[in-house]
Amino acid sequence: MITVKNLTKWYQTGETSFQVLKGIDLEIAQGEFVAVMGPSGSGKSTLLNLLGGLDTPDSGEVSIGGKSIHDLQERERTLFRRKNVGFVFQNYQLLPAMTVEENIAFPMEAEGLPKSVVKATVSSLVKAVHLQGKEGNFPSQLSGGQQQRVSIARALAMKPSVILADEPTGNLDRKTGTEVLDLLLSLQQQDRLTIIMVTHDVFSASYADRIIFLRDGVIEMDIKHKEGDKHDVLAGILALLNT
Amino acid sequence: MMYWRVSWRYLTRNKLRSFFTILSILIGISSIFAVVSTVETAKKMTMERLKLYTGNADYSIQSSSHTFSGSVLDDIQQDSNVKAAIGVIHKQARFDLGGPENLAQTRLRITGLSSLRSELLTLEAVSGNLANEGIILPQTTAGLWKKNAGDLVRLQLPTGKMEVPVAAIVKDTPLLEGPSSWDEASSKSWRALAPLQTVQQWYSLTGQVQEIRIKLNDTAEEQSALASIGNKISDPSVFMEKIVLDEKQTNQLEELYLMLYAIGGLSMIISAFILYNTLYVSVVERKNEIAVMKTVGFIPSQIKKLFLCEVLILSLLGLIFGIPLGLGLASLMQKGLFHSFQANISYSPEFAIALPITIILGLCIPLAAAHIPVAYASKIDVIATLKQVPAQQKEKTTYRVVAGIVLLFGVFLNSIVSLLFLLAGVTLLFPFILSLFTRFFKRIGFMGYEGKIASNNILRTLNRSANMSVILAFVICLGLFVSSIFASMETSIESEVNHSFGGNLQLSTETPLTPEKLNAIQQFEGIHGVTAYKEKEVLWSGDKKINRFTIISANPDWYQKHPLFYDPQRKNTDLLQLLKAHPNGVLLGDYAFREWGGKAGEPIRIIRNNVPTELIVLGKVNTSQYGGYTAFMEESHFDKLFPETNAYKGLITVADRAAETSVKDFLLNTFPFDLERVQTLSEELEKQKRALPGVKSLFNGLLMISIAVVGIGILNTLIMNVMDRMREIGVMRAVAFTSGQVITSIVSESVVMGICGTLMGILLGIAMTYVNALTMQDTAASFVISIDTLLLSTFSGLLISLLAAVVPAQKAARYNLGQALKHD
Repeated sequence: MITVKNLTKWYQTGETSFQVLKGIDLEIAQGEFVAVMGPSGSGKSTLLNLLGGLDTPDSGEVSIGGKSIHDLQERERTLFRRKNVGFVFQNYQLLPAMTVEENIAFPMEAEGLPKSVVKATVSSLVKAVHLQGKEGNFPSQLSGGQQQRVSIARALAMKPSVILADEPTGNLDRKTGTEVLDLLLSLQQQDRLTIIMVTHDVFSASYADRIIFLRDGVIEMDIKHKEGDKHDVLAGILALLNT
Repeated sequence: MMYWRVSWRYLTRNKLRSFFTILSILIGISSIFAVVSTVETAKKMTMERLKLYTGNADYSIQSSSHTFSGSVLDDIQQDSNVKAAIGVIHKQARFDLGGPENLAQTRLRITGLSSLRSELLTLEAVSGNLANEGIILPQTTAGLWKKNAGDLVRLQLPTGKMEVPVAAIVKDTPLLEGPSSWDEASSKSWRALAPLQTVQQWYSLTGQVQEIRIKLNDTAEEQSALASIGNKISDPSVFMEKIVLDEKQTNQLEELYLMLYAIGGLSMIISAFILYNTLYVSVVERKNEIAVMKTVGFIPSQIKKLFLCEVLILSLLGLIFGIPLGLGLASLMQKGLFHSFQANISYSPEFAIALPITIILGLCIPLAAAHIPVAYASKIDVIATLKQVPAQQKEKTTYRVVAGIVLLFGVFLNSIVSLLFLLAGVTLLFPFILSLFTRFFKRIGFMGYEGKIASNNILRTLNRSANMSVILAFVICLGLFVSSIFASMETSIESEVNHSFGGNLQLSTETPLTPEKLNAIQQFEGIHGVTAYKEKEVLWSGDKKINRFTIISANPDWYQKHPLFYDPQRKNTDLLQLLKAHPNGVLLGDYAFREWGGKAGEPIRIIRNNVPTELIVLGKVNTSQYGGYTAFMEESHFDKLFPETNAYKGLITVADRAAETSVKDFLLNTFPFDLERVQTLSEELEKQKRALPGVKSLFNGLLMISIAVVGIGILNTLIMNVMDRMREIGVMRAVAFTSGQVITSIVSESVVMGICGTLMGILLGIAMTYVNALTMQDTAASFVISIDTLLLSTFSGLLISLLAAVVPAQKAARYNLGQALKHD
């Protein structure tokens, strides 16, 4: 369970400061697939960064599994993130000097897990993201879709309860994007992962079972849809996006 | 393992940059190794030579009557406390090889020893047999004389001429250190050994010895052993003294060692700067990766560990290749340095201390240099980096300029520390200075449009470029500083010898210089005056250990005109009055004063005939005697304190300096079997200056190495700049620039950094020399800047910056245009 209470965040640009998040309250249940949508500058990525403990709020609280992450020191927050939160970025953010398996193993190596555990986990993740035979390749030798799959595998390495994905299909074509979304969905269903995905794309959002729409730092709409009304909900969001 | 593997990949991703960084580290390491090894070898060699000279003995027995009964030796040898004892006599002879040798070149000092197989001796026969009848020659002497074991040598002895066989030829040893060439033989006696009985017989000294050297048993209790030995000495003129080896008596190289460390260390410091630059750039380039690492769970200490692995790999590679290179460099330096002092010197290179010191420094200095970039890496802000938020300009520049200016005020401290303030201040101000220089070059249109592009590029990477420019400035500054020290040393040697030679000729004899002998000398036509003076070697206790130096008796009448010391600040008459007024007062030579470490008016504790005595140090004087490691006491006070001492040294003045040679020949003829040494003022000057060219070449060599490392640093900086701007360079080439223009802009960048570094180096060098001359108040540190060095510094600074630009410029010009445009 993720709980967000009265979350605010200000940013300073030169002389002027502006409020990106204006008191967000939110609860996300374990195993939910949440899409966060909204126009540019609405605070989507800021919310995601605050949920992952990458950034610190000006006020409010974020707790994951009952633990208030912003009460932790930076080191403890990093350790918490390492174990509980997986990140997937739009531009993959793989480490260029590491091979596929080393990139996936990276969080486990950082944790100091035994070699045998690391090896077995990497092997199963490589299979899960369908990258067998590419273990020794460097990121520069992979396509965009393959790189994003490595990024997802890395996010899953420590068996986190939450995956935070920031436009995971933003740099991919529709076919590859669909493959990545299918992968995320199957993982979520298989392991009851909580996925929070920031996206501009309505098609991507259609994979989620809950959509939060942000505008000017406030939640304008928070809807859970059922199979039947999915089409109507997406049509409504399209309309919101166009306003 | 992951850390090492990934670090290695990062290094191999930037092969050229890593290669030049390793190259600079290995050169730094090799020069540190060579310098430490050379200094340690010199120290060890000096101590070993002293030990070999004194035969590793603990005590020496001598007599105020010059010689004493050899029966004392027999008695002492029976003492159970004594492990070994040896009787010694030194005498002068002449030899005749039937060649064109002149009188001065045929002096032979024969040392008679009661045993040639004593454990107090280290004689290694290379041919013949030590037990054979005849004289024993050292290898170099036998080679120059063209004599083999068994050959006959015609000797002229008090008993007449006789043919003596060469019993054996032994390896060169300090106890038998003769001239290394016939030229040197004009001012130095040849050396030979013979059995004591033979020498006693030749010089009619049957049953007599001049000195007995004793080594006590390891288990002997010192005080009771001394009492026991003392009981065996009945002759009141005979006294026993502890032998203390003090390398400062023959070796005044402390300053040389310091200068060697400074210049050798400079290469290592420069390589540390290069590493700092490389690592900083690497961190900036990898900010995004670091942010990702932090996002997926890397904590700051793990980021640090990753970068430190890179530094350790660079250092270890530097050590692996640098130490073998250092071995070669050490061998070259040692040969150059020691042979500039003495051609036939034998030594074994010392690596036992150099190796661990080099390994420690080779690891610690790079790690220290990496501290700031690594700390910066660990503090990278994830959000700012991933969002590519432009870095906010902090007010660090202002603080830096203010701190730099404040530090510059430290120059007025009037102490040697002010030099450090000067260097630190300039380092902080250097980005600002380089920025001014660059803007000036831009304004005057230096190298046209390409020059303008170059200037803009320097301003964009100001700190990185300033680091290399400041290092070039330091090397040039140090070059000027060292050359000025050598120039002033040359002048000061001349001035010191001229002011403290005590006349025109100095002589020393094997037997006391009696009034009769002085009278005989005075009779010679060209001699204006002659005097004898006494010396006494005493022990003095410093802070940490017991030392040994010589106290010289000063005759006020003679010293009025021909002193053995001087003080540029005070009149000689005042110094002599001061000595006269203080029965226990001494003036210390500058080196002794420095080693003693006290202030004028404070006591110095000496040990006289095993009894501690306090003398008052009246001040410091300059002298060429014993390299300044000596003390002077007024003659009458000296006689009261050391009544048992005889005069073995003399000073002579001549009416006309042209007569010096004829006076020397007269002395050689008159005292063929007694004169140990006779030296004219010009010979002494030549001797003192002999080592300077060799030492100077050594320093120039080390400076060249430092300049080469700076070149590598500039090259590396330019490569990093070029790689940073590859895309930009690609666009420039695609749109308008020719390859030639790209090369010109990169060469201009290097030249502007070079000119700034060179000019600042020259200014800094002049300032440092001036400050040093002001603060040291020492004649050895006067303000001398040679035009040759100035021109050489300018030329080397500009040349190295031009050469450093070749590889980066070519790389930029040849880079595939398509690839460059894709470069991210």
